[in-house]
Amino acid sequence: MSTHAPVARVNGLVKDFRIPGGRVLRAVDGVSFEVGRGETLGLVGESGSGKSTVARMLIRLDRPTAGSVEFEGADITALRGAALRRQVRRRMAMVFQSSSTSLNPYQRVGEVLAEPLRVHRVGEAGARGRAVETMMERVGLDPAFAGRYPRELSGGQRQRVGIARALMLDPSLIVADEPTASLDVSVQAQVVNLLQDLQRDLGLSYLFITHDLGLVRHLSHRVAVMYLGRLVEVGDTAQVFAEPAHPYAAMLVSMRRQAEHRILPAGEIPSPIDRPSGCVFRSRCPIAQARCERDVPPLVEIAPGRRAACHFPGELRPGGTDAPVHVPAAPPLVAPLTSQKGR
Amino acid sequence: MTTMAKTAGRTRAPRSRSRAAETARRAWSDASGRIAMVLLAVLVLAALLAPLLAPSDPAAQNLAAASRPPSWLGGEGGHLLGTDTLGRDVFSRLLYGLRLSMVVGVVTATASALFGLLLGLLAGYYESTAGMVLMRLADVQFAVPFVAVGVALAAVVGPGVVKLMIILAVWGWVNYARTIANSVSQVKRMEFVTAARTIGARTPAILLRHIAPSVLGPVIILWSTSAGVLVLVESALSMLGLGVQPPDFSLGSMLADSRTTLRLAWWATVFPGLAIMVVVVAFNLLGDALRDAFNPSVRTEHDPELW
Repeated sequence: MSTHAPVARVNGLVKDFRIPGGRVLRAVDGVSFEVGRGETLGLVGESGSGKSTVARMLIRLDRPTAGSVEFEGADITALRGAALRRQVRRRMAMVFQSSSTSLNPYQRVGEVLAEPLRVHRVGEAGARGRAVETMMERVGLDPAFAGRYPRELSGGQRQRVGIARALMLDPSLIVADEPTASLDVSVQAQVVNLLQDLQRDLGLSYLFITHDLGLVRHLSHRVAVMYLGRLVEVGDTAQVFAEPAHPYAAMLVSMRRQAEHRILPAGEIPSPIDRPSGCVFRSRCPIAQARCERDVPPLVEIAPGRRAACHFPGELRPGGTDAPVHVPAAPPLVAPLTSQKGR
Repeated sequence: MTTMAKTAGRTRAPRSRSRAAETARRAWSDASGRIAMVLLAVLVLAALLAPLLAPSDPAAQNLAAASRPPSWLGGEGGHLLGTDTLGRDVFSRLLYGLRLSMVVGVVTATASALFGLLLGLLAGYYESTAGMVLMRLADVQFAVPFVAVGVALAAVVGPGVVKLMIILAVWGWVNYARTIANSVSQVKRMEFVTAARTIGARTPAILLRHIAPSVLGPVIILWSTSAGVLVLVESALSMLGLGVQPPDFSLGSMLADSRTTLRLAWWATVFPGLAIMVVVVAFNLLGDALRDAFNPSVRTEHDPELW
């Protein structure tokens, strides 16, 4: 994947949350990465690893405590008001995890989709209506659903509405926070295929957040692995899955291999309020040494395009081979086009 | 076959019933809701058409025909509800009094609902700042009896129905704000509100378009019950001489005028009293019916296939 000027870049992002008792929870600790044009960057990690917080900072829902966010060549870290709307809201969109809670229950589908256009004063009412219709067809929804409320749609149809809403303003980057997690497996495949088709046709970039390794392997060009607020490994998806450098990435990757090759982490994930000194992963790492307790391993380039934050990169290797990519079989798109919820 | 289904689906273009239409339909399907709507329709029509329906000028005095009983009790002069001690036709006065009472009830309830909705939205959205202040204020206000304040305020600004309406409308915010502030702070954390922010919607649009619809149910229910209460409160205060001033009159001030002559012409007191009761009951029944119509658990019972 050749990436010239990246569409977005985050630099040394830090996010602290104040918690009761005057203490501070560092949810994100010095995260840097970039998303290339037309690229899908998969951001993986357990829940609580800070991946959603990173996404919220990238799309400027949360303000970073430290660090910067660049988007389309401009520093958007401190934008507000009209500039924020013009440079970020107009150009970057988000697809949410739950299709049932991310749509206003009292808005008809047509209103949901017209809203981005209305907010940014794009076109006349008639033109907006036609744009909504076109977009609904584009994502495989019958335009007749424009008069329906979200609750009258299936989960997959609602998620298509969520995707269509994200596309209405023709964004360059879409932040997708576990967009398939709430869907049935067969519907998941449809949505994933739709996202891939849209990327191919519209040249979209995705920051795709998920904990589903199969999904990351299938659709992201590069993968970034987070653990307890830190980025531990970044690299080309195929390379990371073939030869993970960080022990945590090695463990994740080994989960996709035959049972005897799986490496299970020791113990539980530590509380983000009480993180280990040095390397955050050392308390669960099978190859941790004394040094890991002292020094924080920086995220350094270990091979062209590969970065890992480990004092001993590549020393923990899962056995076996990377399982072939599971391409989910999706039923054809015709069904949602003609399906009508019977009354 | 497939193509047929496709064209059929496209041409039918099913636009779902709006929430307002759906709620009205549910309220109508409820017995008490239907009674309330019919009663209110009659009351509103009677108030609106008072000039056409009233057999005589409500202010015209005729001391020669004073204190005549209702015609069906053998009263002379064909006065349906008799005449008061000044010889004014009670039925005509009832229609005009109803007019003012209904206006006070509906307008005041609407104004205080809007005011309370606004403050409740702000209190819930800015829960740690404006919300803190407003909710403490609400606590204080709750501890103060309204009649005491009403009497004191009326003494300061002077009596008058418009002043009274403003005081009542402002005073009424507490119930609305308290009821919805909590839901607002819950709804603002929902993903669809976040989604609205990511597409660039401004805070006022988020409050009105995305959060308000979710708390509108309780506001409308409260509106209905409080309209009835406000008719009653206005009557009470007018009876104390703080509300409507002569020559204007409401159902409440009719009671005030005639209560001293209850033994002489009871009909001049009893019928306005009954009218007040009917108005209050109608608004309360409507409130109950709307409560059921907005309440999802009852909703499934009524119409299981819709959800």
